[in-house]
Amino acid sequence: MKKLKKYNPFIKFLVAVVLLIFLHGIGLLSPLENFLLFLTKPLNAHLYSWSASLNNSYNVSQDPEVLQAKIQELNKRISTLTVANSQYLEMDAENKKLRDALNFLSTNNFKAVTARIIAKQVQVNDNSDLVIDRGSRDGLTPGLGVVNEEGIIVGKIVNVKDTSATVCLTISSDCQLAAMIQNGTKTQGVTAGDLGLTIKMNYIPQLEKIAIGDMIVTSGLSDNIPRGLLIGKIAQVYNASNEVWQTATIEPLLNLDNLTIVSVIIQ
Amino acid sequence: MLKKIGQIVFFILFISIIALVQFSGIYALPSFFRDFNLILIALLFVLFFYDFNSALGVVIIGGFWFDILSFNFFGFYLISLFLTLIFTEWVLKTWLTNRSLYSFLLLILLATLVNNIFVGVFTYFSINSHGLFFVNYTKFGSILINQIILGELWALLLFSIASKATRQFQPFFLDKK
Repeated sequence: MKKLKKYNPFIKFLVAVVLLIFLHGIGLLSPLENFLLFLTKPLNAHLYSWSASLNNSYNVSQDPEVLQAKIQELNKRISTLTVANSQYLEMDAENKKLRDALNFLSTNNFKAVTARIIAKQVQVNDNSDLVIDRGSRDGLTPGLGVVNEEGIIVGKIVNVKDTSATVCLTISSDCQLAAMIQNGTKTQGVTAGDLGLTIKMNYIPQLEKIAIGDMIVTSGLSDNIPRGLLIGKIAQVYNASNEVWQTATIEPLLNLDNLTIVSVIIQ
Repeated sequence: MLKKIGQIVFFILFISIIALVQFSGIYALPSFFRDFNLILIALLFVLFFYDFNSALGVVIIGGFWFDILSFNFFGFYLISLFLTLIFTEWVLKTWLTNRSLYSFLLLILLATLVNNIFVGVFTYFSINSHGLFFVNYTKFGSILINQIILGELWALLLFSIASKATRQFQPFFLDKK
């Protein structure tokens, strides 16, 4: 009896844990879980937002040389874009499609769900998944494409719960997207993340002409991801004469650490 | 009675906030800082300065929050934290005869190591394992070292603040005789 009393809290705990797991398993705990998640969503979103901005300022302020190089690169890009922009402005009046692309979601008639990022989950293989505050109740299913406010694809839905979901990022090796290079022949392939920093496009036939700066978009071959969503631009091409395939390294067009709000394209 | 209820409510809220800060805040920090395991430090702190029952409370509340927020199987954090607590309690009872800063630092080191092993083993059985066992994770060693460093620094900070703020913690330090 004395021994039983000694182990009393231990037994109580085990009963509580078994009960929790059982109730979760049969779904009886779902209303409480959803209520708690709903209640803490704003706090989670704020906490994530603070940490993300802290992370960003930490990364930026870390190395002045990198910062200087980035400024120079951006200045170069500004001058290139200025020239390109003047050309586009002329085409703008005649090309409605291009103009519409700027207003991404509305003009493409995509049905989208806007979500806030509430956490980041680091996987065992160094990949990071984002946790968003929308789930199956909002119509989310695994495989749906996730874009930022400019319509650049940032990843796709991997796991879904009632009121939350995880998004694998395009820079994660697990995140594969059917893609297409915007060159003359519209070369198709599959992109996957590389070391959590860039994106790689493999199995590009040797005869295909690809160049640094070519834009990569989704090809529409994935079931749930529409065609034409921007993935990034080619930063490097690996083209060895003795190889059957070419490989391209793609630079994402946005800093994925800065994301706080995303849209999930449902249709 | 009211005071007791108030204490319990405060305890639940405090541990819940720690769990939320860990899940949404700390994991999004830059790489070194994101390895800080605040919930584990809270668990050890409660076990060290209060009692086993209160530490069980930390496991239930913190583990529950982590299990509903994360995408691992339900019970992942409840069980791994519980096993860590059992191990820590055993070390505390069997090996550490006094409650000094040094024993707390040693406890953090051992608990962090054991917790990472439990988490690693459970991850192998979850959907996020990618077929890798924890010893094969590319950053298992560096994450473990980061966690230990951050935990130890946090413990030093807590002890310093506590010893300045109150004399309640003074007996916990070793005598300089």
